[in-house]
Amino acid sequence: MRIIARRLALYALTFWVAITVNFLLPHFMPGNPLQTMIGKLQTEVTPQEIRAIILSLGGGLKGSLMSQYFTYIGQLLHGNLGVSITQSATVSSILISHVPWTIGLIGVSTVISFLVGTISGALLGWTRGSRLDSLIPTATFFQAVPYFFLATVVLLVFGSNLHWFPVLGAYSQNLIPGWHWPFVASLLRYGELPILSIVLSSVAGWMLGMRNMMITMVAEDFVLMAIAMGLPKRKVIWAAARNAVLPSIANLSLAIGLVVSGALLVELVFNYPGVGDLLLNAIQSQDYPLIQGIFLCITLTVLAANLLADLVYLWLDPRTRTEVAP
Amino acid sequence: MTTDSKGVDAVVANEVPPLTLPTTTYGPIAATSHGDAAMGERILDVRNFSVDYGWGENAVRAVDDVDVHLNRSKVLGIAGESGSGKSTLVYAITRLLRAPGVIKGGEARFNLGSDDEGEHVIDLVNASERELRSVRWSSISIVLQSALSALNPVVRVGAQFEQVLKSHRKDMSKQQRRARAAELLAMVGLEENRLDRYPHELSGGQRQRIMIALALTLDPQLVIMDEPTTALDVVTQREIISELFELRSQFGFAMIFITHDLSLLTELADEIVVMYAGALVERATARDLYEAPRHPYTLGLLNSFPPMHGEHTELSGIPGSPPDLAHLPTGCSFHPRCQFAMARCANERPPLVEIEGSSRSVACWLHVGDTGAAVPVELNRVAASNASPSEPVTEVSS
Amino acid sequence: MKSLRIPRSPKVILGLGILGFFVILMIIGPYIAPYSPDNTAFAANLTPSAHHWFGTTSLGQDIFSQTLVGARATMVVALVAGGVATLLSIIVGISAGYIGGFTDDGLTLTSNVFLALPGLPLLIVIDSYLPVDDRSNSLVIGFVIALTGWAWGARVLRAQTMSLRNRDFVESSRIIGEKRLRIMFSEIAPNLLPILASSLLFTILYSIGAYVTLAYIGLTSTAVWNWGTMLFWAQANNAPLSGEWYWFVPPGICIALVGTSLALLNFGIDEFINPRLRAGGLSGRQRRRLGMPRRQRLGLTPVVRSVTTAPRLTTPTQNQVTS
Repeated sequence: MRIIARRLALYALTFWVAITVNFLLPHFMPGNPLQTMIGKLQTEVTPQEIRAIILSLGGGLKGSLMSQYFTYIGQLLHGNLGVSITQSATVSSILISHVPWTIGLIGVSTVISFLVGTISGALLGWTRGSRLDSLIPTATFFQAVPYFFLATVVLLVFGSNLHWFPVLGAYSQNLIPGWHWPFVASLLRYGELPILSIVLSSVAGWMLGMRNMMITMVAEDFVLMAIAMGLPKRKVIWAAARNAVLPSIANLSLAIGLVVSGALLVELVFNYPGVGDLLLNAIQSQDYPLIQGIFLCITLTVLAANLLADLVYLWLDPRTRTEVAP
Repeated sequence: MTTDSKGVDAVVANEVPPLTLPTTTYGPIAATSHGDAAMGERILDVRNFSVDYGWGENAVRAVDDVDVHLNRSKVLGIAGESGSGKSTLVYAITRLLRAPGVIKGGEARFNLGSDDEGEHVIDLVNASERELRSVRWSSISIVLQSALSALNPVVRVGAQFEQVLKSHRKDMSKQQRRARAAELLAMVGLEENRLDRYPHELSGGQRQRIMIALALTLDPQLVIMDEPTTALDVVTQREIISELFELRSQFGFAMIFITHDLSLLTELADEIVVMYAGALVERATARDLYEAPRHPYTLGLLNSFPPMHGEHTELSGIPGSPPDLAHLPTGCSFHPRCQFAMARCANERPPLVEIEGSSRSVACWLHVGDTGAAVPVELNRVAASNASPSEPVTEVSS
Repeated sequence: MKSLRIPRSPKVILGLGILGFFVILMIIGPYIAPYSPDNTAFAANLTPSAHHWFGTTSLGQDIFSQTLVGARATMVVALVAGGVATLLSIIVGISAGYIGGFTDDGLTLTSNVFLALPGLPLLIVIDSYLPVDDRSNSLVIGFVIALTGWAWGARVLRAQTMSLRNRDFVESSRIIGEKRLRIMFSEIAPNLLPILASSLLFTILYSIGAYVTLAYIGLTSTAVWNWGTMLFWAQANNAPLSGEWYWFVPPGICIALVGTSLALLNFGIDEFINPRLRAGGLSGRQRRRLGMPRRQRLGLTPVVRSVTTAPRLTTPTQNQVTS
């Protein structure tokens, strides 16, 4: 449990760093942050917008930087992320309506991609030297393609040329959202292409990593022992794969960040109503409170995913568990 | 029996308890049977066995035309320095040798036992994967040098027994499997609660005991020990070896014991083969080998380790280092390191020949009749230590 | 000292070839481009032809010229960011691993925080606050990308440094009183070369992805042509849905090719670091000719009986040693 506590402390610290960066960035800009920000807005500024900006900077520009900082953190603790400049709504209410889409999309595609990549990587590593090896250059190429480019190609080929999948949005506009079958079916149908894009982009990374680890594990004595014990082949492969998957999970923290970043852009390509789409609109309209809110929200989600990965790792590797209680 | 190896650091080597081994009968091995003849008492018969590392022009011969055989319930020791091919030979026989190892020829017949239909013999070299799987562990099991790397690190000890039993003894219930595992642990002096531990939670000695217990799970006819105690401290080493031999006298499995510690082998084995640079250089019963090593390399090996009992002798070791298999010296591979080398040794490779009137063979020109060379006194240890210094004993092989 | 001898496999040669091509393009691209990338003098939406190899945009710009000119900014930012990030990771990683103690704790904590922070969103936030003229400056963008991409390399280098710290050659330099900095950078760093190279490749790969992404969402100056800006304009003009594939495919393929070349080179380095990954050195055809199975199966040592035996030197030509 000490390990979990330490990880929690690390993530709390990381979140605090994210908040502080968020707070300090406007102040680092040359000149008066408020003026700079208003100056950056090309449209005319309403008093309401000015109030929103002030809120996002720490509730007013009076007082020292320190007191502004504490006001800012105090606001955050109350779930107050400020008010969006362009949409007359609080940032938190906007986020609440967009975040579930993103989490659903990324969650489903990450699980699929991890499973497919890890299983195929394990088989590639085990059958190393066979014809399957010719998959590797292709996988390398897919690993190097930016997510959004692949998504664009997928959209073009399967969506607008072949018309196999619906292309834009998250569900048919003719339906009223709710927990009824036509809507859920439409949800799944519209999700196919974005999920396919994310899986195609991210699966190669899992696959190649797992293949390398599998090759390394197959060279270990205990795998030879499993063969010497006359165990069925699938048990031998399992013994190696069970150990080879550990580094993949240990590297999840790095991978999650990349997948989230990539998935945000995929949403953009497909006009998926998640955080990515929101982020692009916020950037284009220079809606700083919204950008900052999205950043904090993504950070929080990624940290939660990291914690989950840590728990899975602890559960899978008994060696880390005994370090706690010798 | 002690189950804990804690505090061994404090024990001085001199206080090591003497080994108490069950009495084994030393004597000449039964005459070799040839061809497809019935194997009878013989459990393993390896002939003209050669192994390469690599292929084509890059191939290096690691085991060269080796014959070894083993009778039921006997112990065969294979000795040699690292790189001598002793482990390569055994792993290749069991077809466990990894790439780039390739078997280049020979046969390895294993006697599965006989019933009404007669003898069941399998040639491991020609066996299919399925046949091999049926022999593995239920007939031939193996104990590796490092139990830490040989046990799956993320699987509890009990589950590793469970896996073996589940794969080979399909009729056993879960309770029976657990009981069997506990019984096996008791045999090696461990408590049942060790089954719920992970390998990294156990001491080195405990892990090696678990490896031995695992190897005995299915009552195999042959257990291969690949330097099973090298990684352990000397006290644990003694304990484990005496336990091992107690178990052997109880269950009667045959054993191949691979080690570079020839002194240890002379106390454990029935027959010993000594390997150098991939070839057999000497084969003899343990007693013969101990009393009178015939090959200079055997002598060097014997002098490299302190004997387990008896007076302290000076350790001399062997000058030089094992040869590069890709560039072996001409003639006898050992001649550059041999203190008795003659002109002939550099040019002609000595064949492994039986010494007349004994059951032993040696590959050394010193012992081939027509040279008429006198066997140096050092090659007869017992004679040398019994004789007074002023009266050198020279034994001439006919 | 271990020198970096990367196995010369087809993968590595291919990777070096592609990367070399794009580095040359980075240098000469703007000079060999047939037209100015901003020139809108041509007809809009031309499909590829002899005059316009990659066709034209809906504004009538030559896409081939844009691709050639865009190579420079894209590659420069990727190399600057990769280089700076690797330098940061060397400094942090080696110091943390070698000095240990509080320095190590502090630096490790810092890199762990940066690892846990999602890189691209952080980048977007920082970048969105940058003044417009900084956004067009490749160096500034490169530094900002480096700031979010150094932590992984630092972690790997720290672990490796710790394992080197107690080796004999480092120990002996310490005993003869070498300065700490000298030991760190002339004794330890050279031994980290393979890992360093691998981490450099990865940060370049990350940087190119990050830069292109920033450009794609419109966070770099549109005055600077790079492959990401091209994709930005293509997306903004709805090229994917109107079937103008020639607009966004060339920059996308270029990015993917650079990425692939980096990944291929990394294969070579991986095989150098981890010998287990090295193939047996025989192609499938060679194996078949020698009568070998196509792949080695664990627990089934192949049996190849052949007439020609492996060379066992028996001719009395060398090593004539007498006692």
